[in-house]
Amino acid sequence: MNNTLLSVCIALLFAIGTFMILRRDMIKVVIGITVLSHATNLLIVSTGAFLGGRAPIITSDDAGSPSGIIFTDDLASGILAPVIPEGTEMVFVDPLVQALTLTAIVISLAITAFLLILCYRIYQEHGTTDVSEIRRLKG
Amino acid sequence: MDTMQQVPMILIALPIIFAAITVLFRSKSGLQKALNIGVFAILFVMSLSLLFHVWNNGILVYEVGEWGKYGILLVADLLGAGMVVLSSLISLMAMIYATDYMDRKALDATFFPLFNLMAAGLNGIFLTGDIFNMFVFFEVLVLSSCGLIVLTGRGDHTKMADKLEAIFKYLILNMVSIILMLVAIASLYATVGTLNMADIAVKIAYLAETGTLPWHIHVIAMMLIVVFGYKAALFPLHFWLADVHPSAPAPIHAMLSGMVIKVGVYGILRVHYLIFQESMFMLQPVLILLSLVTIAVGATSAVGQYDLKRLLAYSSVSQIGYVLLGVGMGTAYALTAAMVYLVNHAIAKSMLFLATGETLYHAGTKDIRKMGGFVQSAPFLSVIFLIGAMSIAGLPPTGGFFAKLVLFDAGLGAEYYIPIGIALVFAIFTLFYLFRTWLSIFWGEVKEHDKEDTYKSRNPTIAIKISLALLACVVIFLGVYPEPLIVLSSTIAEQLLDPQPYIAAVLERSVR
Amino acid sequence: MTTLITKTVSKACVPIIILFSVSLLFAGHDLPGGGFIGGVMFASAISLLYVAFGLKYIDSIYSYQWDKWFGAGLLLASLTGFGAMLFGYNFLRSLYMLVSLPLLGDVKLLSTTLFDIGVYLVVIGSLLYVFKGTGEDE
Repeated sequence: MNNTLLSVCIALLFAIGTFMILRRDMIKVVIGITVLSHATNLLIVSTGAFLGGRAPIITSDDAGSPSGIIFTDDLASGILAPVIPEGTEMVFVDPLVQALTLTAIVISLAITAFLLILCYRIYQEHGTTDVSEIRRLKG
Repeated sequence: MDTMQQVPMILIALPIIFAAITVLFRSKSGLQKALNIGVFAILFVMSLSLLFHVWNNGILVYEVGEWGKYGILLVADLLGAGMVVLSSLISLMAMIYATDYMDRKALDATFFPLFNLMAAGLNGIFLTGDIFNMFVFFEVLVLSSCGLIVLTGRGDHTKMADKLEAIFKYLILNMVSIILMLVAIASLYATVGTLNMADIAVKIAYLAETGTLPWHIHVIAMMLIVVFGYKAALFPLHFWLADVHPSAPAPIHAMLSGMVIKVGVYGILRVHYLIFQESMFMLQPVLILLSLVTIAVGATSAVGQYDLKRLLAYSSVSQIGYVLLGVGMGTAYALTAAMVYLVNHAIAKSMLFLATGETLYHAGTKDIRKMGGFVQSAPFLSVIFLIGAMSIAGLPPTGGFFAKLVLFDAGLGAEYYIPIGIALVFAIFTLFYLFRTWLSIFWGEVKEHDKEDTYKSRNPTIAIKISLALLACVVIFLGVYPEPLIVLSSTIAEQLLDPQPYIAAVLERSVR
Repeated sequence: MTTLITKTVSKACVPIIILFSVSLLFAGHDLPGGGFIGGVMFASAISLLYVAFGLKYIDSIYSYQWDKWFGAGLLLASLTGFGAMLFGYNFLRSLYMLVSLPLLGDVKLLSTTLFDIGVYLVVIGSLLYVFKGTGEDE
C-alpha cells in the first residue's frame, strides 16, 4: 500500500477516535477508544518493514532459503532501524510488529468487553448513558 | 545458584497459577484465605532472597523461553528487586488484612484471583527488561485493579453507582494514556528497531554520540512522561485519583495508593534514566515544576476535605509530588532521597489506609465531622493512625522524618532553594491537616453517645491487628535504624545514573 | 431472534464452526491459527446457540460454568511454562518431536500446543462468562 495513504488513514482514525471520546454518550466514548486502539495497531504495523514481502509464515519449503534480512544489528555501519539494507532481498515482512499488534488487539478486546459491561451496569444504576448526567464524584 | 536464576520468573508465574487455582476452587473461602496468605508469604520471602542475591552477586538476567537475542528478558537489578520486595510486603499485609475485612461475598467471588493477578502485574512491571512487556503488565495491573475496586468491604461506605463511575473514569483515562504509550513504543521501534530497554539505550547513546539523534526522541520522552505521570498522578493528570482511590475497599486502596501509583515513578526512573538521558536536561525542570504544583494542589485540596478517604487520597497526590521532586532534581543524592521517600511513603500510607478502613467501619460513616473521641473505644487504631500520620508528616521517630530530611538536604545540596522552600511550606500543611484529622477523629467529645455500645462491637479482629502492627513496626524500624535503606537507595541511585552495568549484564546475556 | 430459520441454521452451523475452531487451534504455531483465534471462534459458536435458543433453554439442558474453563485454561498454560523448569530449562522453553502415527503419517508434537490449548480455554471461558453474565440480567 502507498505509504502516504497509510499515514493519512492512521491520522484520520486518530482524529475520529479523539472526536468520539469527547462525546457525551458513554457508548460513543467506548467506540472512540476502540477506534483509537485500532489506529494505534495500524501505526505499529506500519513501523515494521512491510513493502513487498511475504507474510512471515515459514513452511517446511522455506527451511533452506535465506531468511530475509530485515534488521542487521550493525552499529558500526550505522544501521539502527528495521530497514532493509541495500542489496539484500526481503523475503518476509517484519514478524515482530505483527506479534505486538496481536497482543495489543487481545488487550483492547479485553478492555472493550470490560468497558461495555461497565456501561451496561452504569446504565442500570443511573438510568442514563449521558456522561454529564451521571457525574456525582467531583474530581 | 541455579534455583536463584529461576526466582524472577517464579515471582511472576506463581501468582498467575494461584489466580487460576483460586478461580477453580471458589466458594471455599476458609481454604482460600490460608492458601493465599501462604502464597504471599512465600512471594515475600522469595523477593527478599532475590534482593540479597542481587546485592551480593550483581544483576540477574532471565531469558523467558530461551529464544535467543530477541527474546523476552526479565532483569532483576537493585531497583527492580527492591520494588518487588516493597510490593510483596504491602500485598502480604493487605492480604492478611483483607481476609477479615472484605465481605464474604467478595471473597467468594473474585477477590483472590484478581488480587493474585494484580501482584503478578506489579512484579512483572518491576522485573521486565522489555518496554513492550511493561505495557502488557500495565494492562494486567489496570484491569485487575478495576475488578477489585468494585468489591465491597465492611468499612466501605461508597455506593455501587459511585464505584462504577470512578472505574469508568479510571479505565477511559488509562486507555488514552496506554494508547499514548503504544504510540511512543511504535515510534521508538521505528527509530532503533528493538524493544529491549538496554539495547535501546545503547543505540540512542550511539546516535547521540555521532550527533544524529533525531529530534522526535525528545517527543517520545515527553509522551512517556505523560504516560508515567498519569500513573503517578502528576499535576495536570492527578484529578482521577481522588475519585478512584477512595471508591476502593481499604486493602485495595492501600495497594493502589501504596504501590500502583509508585509504578509511574518507577517508570520514570527506569525508562528515562536508562534510555532518555539525552532529553533529561529539558525534562528535569518540567518535572520539578510539575511536582511542586502537585505538592501544592494536593495539600491545599486535602485541607478542605471532610471525607476521610478523599482527604488521604489528596494527601497521596501531594506526597507523590515530593517523590517526583527528588526524581526531577536528578543528582545522585536526590535520587537516593526519592527512593527513601518512596519506600517510606508506600509503607506508611498503606498502613494509614488500612487503619482508615477499620476506622470507617468503627465509625459507621466517612464524614470526619461525625466522628470523635474514638481513643476510648478504639485505642489500638488511634495509636496506629497516629504513627502513620507522624510518618507522613515527617516527625521522628518514624521513617518519614528521615525521608523528608534526606530530600530537603539533597535539594539544598544541589542549590534548589526555591523549590525546597515551597516544599517545606506544604510540609507544614501536611502536618496541619493530618493532625487536625487525628484530633477530630480520636480526641475530643464522643459525638453520638447512644452509639457507644455499637462502637464497642466494631473493633478490629486479630488478623487486622497483626497486619497493622507489623506495618507499624516496619515504620518505626525505618525511623530508628534507617541506614540499610539509605545505603541501598544510594547504591540504586548510583546504578541509575550510571546504567553501564545494567546494559552490560543484559547484552552479554542476550547475544548468543 | 428465536425464529425457526435461526434455530435450524444454527443447529447445522454450530458443529461445523466448532470443528473449524479446533482445526484452527491445532494448525497454530507455524501456520495461521492458534489458541486465541480458535477460542474466539468457539465462543462465537456457543453464543450463536445462546442467541438462537435462549439462555434458559440451553441452561435447562446443561448449565456450563464457563469461569471454570477460564481457571483450567490459565492453570494449564502456566503449568506448561513450569514444565520446562522441571527439565532444567527456562520458563516457557518449548520443544517438539516428530512422531509417525499409523493413520496420520508424520505428526509434529509441540509442547506449545499445550500452552495454546490453555489459551483456547481461557478465551472461551472469559468471553462466554461475560456473555452469559450480561445475558442473564433481566
